Amino acid sequence: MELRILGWESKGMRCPDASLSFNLGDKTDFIQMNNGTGKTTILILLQIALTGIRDVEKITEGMSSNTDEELNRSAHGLLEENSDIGSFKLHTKISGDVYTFAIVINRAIYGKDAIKISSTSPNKESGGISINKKEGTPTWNPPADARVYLTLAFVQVFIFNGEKAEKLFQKNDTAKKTIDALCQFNILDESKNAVSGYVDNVGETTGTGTGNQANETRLKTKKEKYVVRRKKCLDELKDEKKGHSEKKKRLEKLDQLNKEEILKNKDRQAEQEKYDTDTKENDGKMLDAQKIFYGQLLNPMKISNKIKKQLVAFRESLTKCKLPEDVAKQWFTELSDQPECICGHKIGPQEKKKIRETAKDYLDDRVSGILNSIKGSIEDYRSSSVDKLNNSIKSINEADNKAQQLQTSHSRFLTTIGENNEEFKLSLEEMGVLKKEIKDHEILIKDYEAPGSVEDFREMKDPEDLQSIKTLDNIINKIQGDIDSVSRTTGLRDASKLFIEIIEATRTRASKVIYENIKSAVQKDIDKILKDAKPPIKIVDIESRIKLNRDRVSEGQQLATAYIFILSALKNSNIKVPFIVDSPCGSIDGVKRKAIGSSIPLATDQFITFITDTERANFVSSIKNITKDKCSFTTIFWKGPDVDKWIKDFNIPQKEVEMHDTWGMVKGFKSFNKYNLAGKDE
Amino acid sequence: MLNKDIHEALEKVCNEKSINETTKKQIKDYLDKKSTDTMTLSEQQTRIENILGGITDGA
Repeated sequence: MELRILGWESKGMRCPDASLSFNLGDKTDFIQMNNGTGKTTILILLQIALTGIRDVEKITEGMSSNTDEELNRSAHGLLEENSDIGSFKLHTKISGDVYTFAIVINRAIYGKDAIKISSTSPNKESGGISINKKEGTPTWNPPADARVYLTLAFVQVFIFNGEKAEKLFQKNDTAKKTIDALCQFNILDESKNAVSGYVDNVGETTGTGTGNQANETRLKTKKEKYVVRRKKCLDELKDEKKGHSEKKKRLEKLDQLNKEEILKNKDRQAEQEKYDTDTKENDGKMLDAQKIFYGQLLNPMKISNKIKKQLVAFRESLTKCKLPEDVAKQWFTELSDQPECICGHKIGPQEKKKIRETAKDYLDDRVSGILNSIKGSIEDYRSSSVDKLNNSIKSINEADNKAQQLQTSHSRFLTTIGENNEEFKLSLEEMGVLKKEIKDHEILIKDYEAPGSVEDFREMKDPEDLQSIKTLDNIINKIQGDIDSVSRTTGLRDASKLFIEIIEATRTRASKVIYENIKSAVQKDIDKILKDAKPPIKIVDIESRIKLNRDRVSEGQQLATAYIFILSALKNSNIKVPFIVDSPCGSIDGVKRKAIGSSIPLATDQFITFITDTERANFVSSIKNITKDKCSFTTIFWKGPDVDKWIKDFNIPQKEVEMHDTWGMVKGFKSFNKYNLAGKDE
Repeated sequence: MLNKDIHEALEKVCNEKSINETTKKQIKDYLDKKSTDTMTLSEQQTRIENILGGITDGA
């Protein structure tokens, strides 16, 4: 990312209504403004424009305003006393594209809305304008690759207030925050949070919570209970089937023996044959009647007159309810375009979208087709008679009665034989018991082989209360699915822990290298720039603050060290930003000014400095020298008799002077270098 | 694009933790993309899912 300041325009603010523009080829832009001419206001406005922060207290004091009143006071404090509205436009070039940040402060508006900020870019789509959806007004929207750097912490690194240099030496992590911001360590922190958030979300969505080992163990224990029960049921089913098979064989054998006994007598044989024939015939009748009955059941109109009546009524109601899709779709579309729903609720963009999407679910050709098919079928069967079904039921009942009669008659016949044959009698009794036991086996087998019960599955009934192997299978599969989900979440959680470990270790290792590099670069420059310091100044560490080997250093030495530190840190980052400094020299002495002046342009492509005439000596000449005169010079002043005298005494050409009601501006090195009204504006 | 020292540190740490080459590259690409603030939420989720999957498979 490369950021360059192209200039700014100010109107109605607590600084001159000046319009400044800087040449792309210049490496340093000097703005000579004495104290009291609005430098602080310009610096605050630059920070508001670049960060999009509308809380002035946060920018100046590092603390957020608590009330609208505070926000209001600090925002309106940037306005010129007699001005109701002020504007400030900052023109920049960000990674090759022109971006303008516009600030408007309105005295009539209170709270945070007193300041409005927007950004535009003529080369971007729609002028690079982003609209605040709530207010419908343009909003602050720098390009994404610059946005990550335009935080207050970062902007206050390159818009540096020399008067606050001491902060870097205090125990407040300012030095650390500076390096962290420049090296984007915040991205590493954000990535950890994003990964943790992702895993939390998976746990929440799948209902697997933290997906820990305890959850997985609990589910496995639960599954094991159903697995054990399933095995028991399978064993029991096997036993039941075995018992069923053995008893059936025994029954068949006894039946065969009995038949043989019966066949020993011709009369008995005839009676048995008659029974067999009658039974076969009756079974045939029963089967035929059942076939007809089930066939007729396919037509529900034949079940009963009542059902027939209800189905016909249903058919009638369908005719009335039908909403053709083409008409209904239009109705939903028109409804979604209304500001208010028929239920009285407001219809916003989200509701509109939802109505249009949901309408498709309620009506389409497929549904209409199905309904029409049902209607047609009902109509076709409308004339059917229910008598036929009644006749079928009658036939089944008759066959059933006949079967019972035959069974009773045959039982009597067998009992008669048993009266004179003990063995036959015992055999009959055993067969009776066997039949009952076979029936019991069949009931149990049916229970074990029953299809899965949706209700039991849903309730997750206790395993001991379940007998259907299919239901047990379904529950086991469901629990296994849950185990897999928890296991996945547990796996994700473990992986996220490792990811976080990697990121933290990366940060620790990278910090060590970066801090060591910066520290060594800072020391190298200190040795060069502050070579006269006695004892020599040595950097002890820079991890939380700039810690020196000496408790006491002069104000000049401290400021010089601060510059050296920031410039080294900037060189270590992979971005290019201007270095904007108010009061660059402060109390730095001549020799150090020269050294610092020679160093700054080597670390940045654009150095913008607000300077007073008392700071020029040695500093300006060294920068002019190192940049080979690639500098611009602007002097801004309040009007007054002293200024008139200065223009006259130093023979400043009138054409170079831009005079306004209360202030003036003059460009060029000669006038800049001759300005000597320090303190006159204060 | 993140600072080269961060990239170098990440490379070494991933090697020490036996992270495979594909996952290592996915982590680097994710951090680089994050540093430009041009990632949608769904893209971020997909990238994280792939990274965690890679870490799990490689562990």
